[in-house]
Amino acid sequence: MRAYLEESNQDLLYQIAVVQELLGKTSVCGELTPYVGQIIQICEELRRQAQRNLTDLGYGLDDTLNDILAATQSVTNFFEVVNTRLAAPVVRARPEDRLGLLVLRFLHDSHPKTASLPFGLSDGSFAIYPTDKIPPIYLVPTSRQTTLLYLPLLFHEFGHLLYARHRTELDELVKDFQTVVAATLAPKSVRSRAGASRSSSFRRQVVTAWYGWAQEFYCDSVGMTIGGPCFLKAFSHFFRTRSNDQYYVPRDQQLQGRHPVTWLRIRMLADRARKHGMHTLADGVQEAWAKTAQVLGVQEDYEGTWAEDFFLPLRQMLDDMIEESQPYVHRPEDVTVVESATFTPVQLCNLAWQKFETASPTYRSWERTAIESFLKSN
Amino acid sequence: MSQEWLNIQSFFTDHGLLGAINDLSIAIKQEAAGVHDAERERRAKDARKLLKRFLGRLGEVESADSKELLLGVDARFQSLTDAIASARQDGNRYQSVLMKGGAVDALPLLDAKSTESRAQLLESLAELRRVIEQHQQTDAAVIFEDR
Repeated sequence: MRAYLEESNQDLLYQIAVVQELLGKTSVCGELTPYVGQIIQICEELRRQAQRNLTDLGYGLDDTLNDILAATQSVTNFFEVVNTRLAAPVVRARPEDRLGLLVLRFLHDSHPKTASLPFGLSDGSFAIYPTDKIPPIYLVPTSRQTTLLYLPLLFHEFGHLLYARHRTELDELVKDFQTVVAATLAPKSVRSRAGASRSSSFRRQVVTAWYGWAQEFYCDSVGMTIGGPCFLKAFSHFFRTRSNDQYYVPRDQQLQGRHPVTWLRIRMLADRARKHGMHTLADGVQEAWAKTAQVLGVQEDYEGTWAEDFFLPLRQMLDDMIEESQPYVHRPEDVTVVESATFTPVQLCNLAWQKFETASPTYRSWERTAIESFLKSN
Repeated sequence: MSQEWLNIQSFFTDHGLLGAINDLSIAIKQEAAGVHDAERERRAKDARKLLKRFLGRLGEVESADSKELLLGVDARFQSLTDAIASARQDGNRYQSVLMKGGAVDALPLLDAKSTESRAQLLESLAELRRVIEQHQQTDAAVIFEDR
């Protein structure tokens, strides 16, 4: 066993060195430099842990072999994350990443709790890895990285990072909301023991599911707060015609999933939009979803995971969460954008949607020029 | 939008706990064998701190009425506490103080000095590690394979 463990840790040291060498050789744009530094540091910590395992093996204590095996597995698992996820933004880095990285730079700089955090960008479905153990990586589908319309969905992902940075306070607000959910779903009368047990189990599952769902609603609200119209339009377009399960999801699948049903998210987003004075846009988006649902033959039904009694407390919770975490709030000049030499990412995305909606045939050529000009000015 | 974020967070929470268990277990065994290693001692101190926090939280969950709802925790943490509760019901495979008496009984073992208590702590840590390793595998499967 001792020999196997020595071999495994020596191999780990070698693999870590290979990644370290790759990271050291790669040339990246300035926005990614702090991220590279942090990944190199993580590699160094993993190298030390593998070295530590070898030191422990060197003491020759047989009763520690199971612990050293567990420690070896642990460092191997973490290294797997580095090798398959964390190194990717550096190793695959290309000049086209700058657009997404500049949007992320803007988002991180907009908040004191994220300004100093390095971040990476990689390929994948829109996502973020928000944990304090590794620098956040944002995943964006390839074509969406080099075009403007769907970059506002990064505002939602940034919300997950803000949540992680305000976890203690925001968890308390979610707890209060979960209490409302639990009270609303409590049975008014119990007819049989079996029925009571089923109902209690369902209630427990719904209350737990709402912990994750509340975070998704919060991230949507962050997106809306930061981007205004461009976020709502991007979100609605991205999901509206994607699949039937944006409108209806069977109860068991809802409870296993991490996201609330998208149609419900649209309803809350429209409510947030009205709060920002965007009544026409909110009405238009809700109407578009209702019409699409009609064509799909889907009725609005959340199968008991949603009750109208949740609406006001959910709205209040989202207001309180936004107040607590203080994301950037879009300004009038971010929404009604006039052509100029320099734009913020929020202005650029709002302008992109205006152009897309009013001058669709010429949109692509406008977008190319706008991106070039944005990259040059930053 | 991907659902991976919760699995990533859970993966690293478990990683931290496993690291603490490994560090403390190795340190206790080395100390018993007369090995003096300053880094190990430092790691054991950090590990005790983290495990006290975790067992304290677990103790709260365990002391709550089974019908009471667990608020402010994500589905993955709840599944970890559920896995520990299941292990506690499985007396054939889990027989440590932690599994028999719960987190409240295991907490004092972290600072205990007697040989017997140390042995009980080591057994508790080993069984807790088994449960957490299984739990982490679920997250690892999502992170590494579900793409």
